[in-house]
Amino acid sequence: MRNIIFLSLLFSFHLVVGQVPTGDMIIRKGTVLTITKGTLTETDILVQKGKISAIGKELKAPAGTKEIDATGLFVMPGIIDAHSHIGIDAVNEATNPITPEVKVGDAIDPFDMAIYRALAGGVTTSHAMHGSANVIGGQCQTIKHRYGLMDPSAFIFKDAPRTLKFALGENPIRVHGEGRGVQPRTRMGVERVIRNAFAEGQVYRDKMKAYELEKVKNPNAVPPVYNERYQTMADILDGKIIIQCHSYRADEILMLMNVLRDFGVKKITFQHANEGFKVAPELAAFGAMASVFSDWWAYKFEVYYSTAYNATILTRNGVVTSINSDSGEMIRHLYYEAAKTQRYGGLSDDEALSLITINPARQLGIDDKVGSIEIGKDADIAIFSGHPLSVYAVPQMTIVDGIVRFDKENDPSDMRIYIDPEEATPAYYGREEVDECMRGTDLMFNNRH
Amino acid sequence: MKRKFFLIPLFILGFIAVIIAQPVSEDLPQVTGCIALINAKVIAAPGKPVQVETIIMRDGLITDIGPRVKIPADAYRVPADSLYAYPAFIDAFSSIGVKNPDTDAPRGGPQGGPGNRDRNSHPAVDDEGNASLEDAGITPFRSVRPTVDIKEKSIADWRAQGFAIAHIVPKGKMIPGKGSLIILSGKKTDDLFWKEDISMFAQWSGAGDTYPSTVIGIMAKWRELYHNATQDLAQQTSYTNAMLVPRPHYNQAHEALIPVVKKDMPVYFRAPKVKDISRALAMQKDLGMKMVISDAEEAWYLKDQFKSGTISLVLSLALPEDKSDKKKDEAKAEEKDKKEAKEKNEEAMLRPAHAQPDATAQQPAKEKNVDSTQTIIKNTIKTDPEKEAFEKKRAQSLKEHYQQAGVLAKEGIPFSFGTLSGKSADFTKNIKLMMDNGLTSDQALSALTTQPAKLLGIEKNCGTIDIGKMANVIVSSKPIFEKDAAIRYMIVEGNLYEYEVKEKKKNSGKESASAKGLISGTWSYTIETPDQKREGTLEFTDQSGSITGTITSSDITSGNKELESIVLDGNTLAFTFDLDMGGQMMTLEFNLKMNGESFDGNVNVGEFGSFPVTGQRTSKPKN
Repeated sequence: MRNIIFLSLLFSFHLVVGQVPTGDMIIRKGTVLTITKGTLTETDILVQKGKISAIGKELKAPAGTKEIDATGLFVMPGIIDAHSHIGIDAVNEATNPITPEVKVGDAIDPFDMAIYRALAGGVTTSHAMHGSANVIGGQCQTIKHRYGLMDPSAFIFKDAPRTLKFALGENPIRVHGEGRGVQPRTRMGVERVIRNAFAEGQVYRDKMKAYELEKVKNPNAVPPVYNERYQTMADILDGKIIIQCHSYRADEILMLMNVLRDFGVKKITFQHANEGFKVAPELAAFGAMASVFSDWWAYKFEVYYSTAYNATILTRNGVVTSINSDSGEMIRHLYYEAAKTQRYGGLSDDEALSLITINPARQLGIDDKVGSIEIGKDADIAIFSGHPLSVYAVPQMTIVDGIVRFDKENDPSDMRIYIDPEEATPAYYGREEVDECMRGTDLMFNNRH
Repeated sequence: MKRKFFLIPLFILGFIAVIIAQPVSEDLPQVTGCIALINAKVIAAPGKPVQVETIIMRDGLITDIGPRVKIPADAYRVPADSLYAYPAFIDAFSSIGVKNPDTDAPRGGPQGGPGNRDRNSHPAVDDEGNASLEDAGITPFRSVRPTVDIKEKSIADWRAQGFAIAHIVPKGKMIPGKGSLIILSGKKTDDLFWKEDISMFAQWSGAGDTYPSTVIGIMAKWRELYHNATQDLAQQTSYTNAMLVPRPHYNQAHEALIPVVKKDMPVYFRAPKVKDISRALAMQKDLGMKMVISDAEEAWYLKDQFKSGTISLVLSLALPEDKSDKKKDEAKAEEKDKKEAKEKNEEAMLRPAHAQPDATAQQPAKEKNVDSTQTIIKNTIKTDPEKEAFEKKRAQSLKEHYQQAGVLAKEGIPFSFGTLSGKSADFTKNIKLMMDNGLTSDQALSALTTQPAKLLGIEKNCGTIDIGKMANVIVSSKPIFEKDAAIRYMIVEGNLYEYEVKEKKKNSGKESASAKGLISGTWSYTIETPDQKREGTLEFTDQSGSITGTITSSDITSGNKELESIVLDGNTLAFTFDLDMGGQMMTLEFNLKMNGESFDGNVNVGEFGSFPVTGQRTSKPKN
């Protein structure tokens, strides 16, 4: 398995823009955790052009296909993190309470070491999100961890639906109300800001529709002044964008569901949702999903109250639930985070692993492509030394589109691609990377809370 | 104990020739409109052979050139035998002559920024998110002209480096405004201007606490602006051509971007780093404007994207500096080794043999010598393989930056140079660094002449020495990029600037005569330590250029009284002295400034710190 990464990186450097490299391989005799179709022992997975083309015992592979011996190892779909901020250079455009027009996908950082670290934890896809400084933040970007490529666009998860960050509660209140003296100053204000933005979106959409109708009759029809902000709101109204809402408290979760009902918006995943368990039946009834921490709360007042049983309660109530990291560090051990639901709530292996595979894929609208080991899906695969829900399991190899992007046997200490010649000390020398919701908002505070 | 003396001979002189270029005729009015550059070795264009020719220039144009041209009677004759003539440089992207913005000017928006705002006051403007175009840094309607000043030093500085023409852009944020073409010569600001508003300048600079503040905000704003400018253009067209069409709406920013949308005006996108470049390229791909990636420091990463020629390229003249500790370390290493060896040695002497830190030190302390202590040190200093690997990668990266121009030239990718981030003082050094790393002199010259001329659409007027071209000529003492080459004349649109080359004798400051006068004799000194004043005398003697010195003090009861490592440089005097402080040896490092009959300075006493020293001469030497 040595040198595979090296070769793949070498190959990737000279990639023509727009192409994404894929690979062929056969993974032999592993214990395959398909997630959706049970566990298969001593099973082979054939990968062709980056897709899973066959699953079975003693498969035949075309001559010359790279073989990976997974005897005694556990093979699972690449882990998906539904909430992270790695791989992007800008997290918050914190200058306005409503900035749906900005896209973190415009600021992809192909050199972010956190992407490689995530690969080392078996994570192949993450949802790079706008931060929570604004009530309506920017559009997020689902990325594949093709670490080694120079071209930012090569990280984009092709055909992943558009997603957009909303944020309720203390963060936007602190940044805008307290920090900048504008609405929202309270939770009431947060609701008002959202309703206003949707209303503006409706007005804009109506104007655009009227123009489109007029244009059919009159080639000289005058279009409204283009407004990317309200165009994006209109796209949400039209169901083209999945809302990903930063939220903690049950009351604010109910509030947003009511607002969305009023505007006919259906697609939403509540992020964090630390009190999601209190409104689990309501979430299920709405069709809303939830992406939560395994056991992290009480780090500020509005998250004072939660429980490690949150994921289990949501799952048992029929809410599509995932466990996320929101951290460049926690992303490396999401399999441990998922395992905690077995201690707190007794979820089955498949249920627990679904929290970091097929469920986040559903929340991001990419479950037809990734999230389980099935024929036709992308060959995004993580190989572990033991069962990934065991504390003794160690990720051995992570594969994206049939290309090995992490190999524990060939894991040099310095995996940087880009080196700043004037950098005083290496990035990995004691500098803490902060990949979190409130990155880039320091400017906006009177004081830190 | 034997001690070495590091006595510095003071007669090492060496008259180091320093070439100082000075413009001498800046303010003199030109007597005639005609210049004859006689018998120069002319390199008419990059790659052209050297030919001895005379160039006749009149009214800012090259009117004749050849080995035997007739020199007009009214010509100002510049004999140029043995001198080299080149087409003067064109700066593809810069801010030469552009004043720094007045930072004290009040902002249009709410004062003080959000961080300082009084929470109880209601701002006049609702929020920075809906700030004015000016505050948001979106000023495509602005021309560079009002911010240019003939008095700016950069004009003469860059002219002295061989530049005659520059494409200059305004200062600002996301879209600072429109660039112009200037000629680096003139009496008043208007004289500089050749073509106004030839380009749009853009960069990834956010508006701080105002929208757009980040790269994602800037990108979104560009999409919206471009979309609206496109829409406005279509409306204007239909308003002109059709009946019953409402008058198009007017927006200053959209209006200014219409030439960009029409691809009449290129966008010079400042993109130094690789991510800046890839984002600008992504924007170009998305919106389709004519783009020039400018001030590029890391374009080789994405070289394939420049091969098609759709995107032009201006490379930065700034190069990263070697900030590794290596150089410093190397210099310090010896000194430190020596010092540590000495300290260890002394430590070892004070410590009983059984307490030695490692096996090699087990030998009896008395037999220890410097060599063996050095071995100990080498064994105890651990090398950090991770840091070594890091330094290696950094050195490689540095090299790649230096190789950028050479690599791109080799790939056949055309590029120009721009001075925006460069310093005029580093120009020659950096060009040479690039040439040491693969760039040929022809390639360097073309990136400074014909390429920028083509990029800026002035190749008919500039970039080579030919009849009919603008009289922009560099006259150099040697082939232009050669070591020690000095510019003797700059001719900018027929205006002659002369640079005097004089050899200045720089003495090394160690002349015996002054040295003798400066320090020979007996001095009293006072060291002020926190607890007390320590006093004594210093005596220096100078024999055939060697200075020796001794120290006496009531504190010094035993041991050596001779001064070591005496170095006199100009009027600064440094020396060391080893003091036996009750069995503990301390090295005192003196650094003094000699002010005739007195001195002041400090003395460094190892870990105890540094203390001020003052002193007076008490007697002169007897000659």
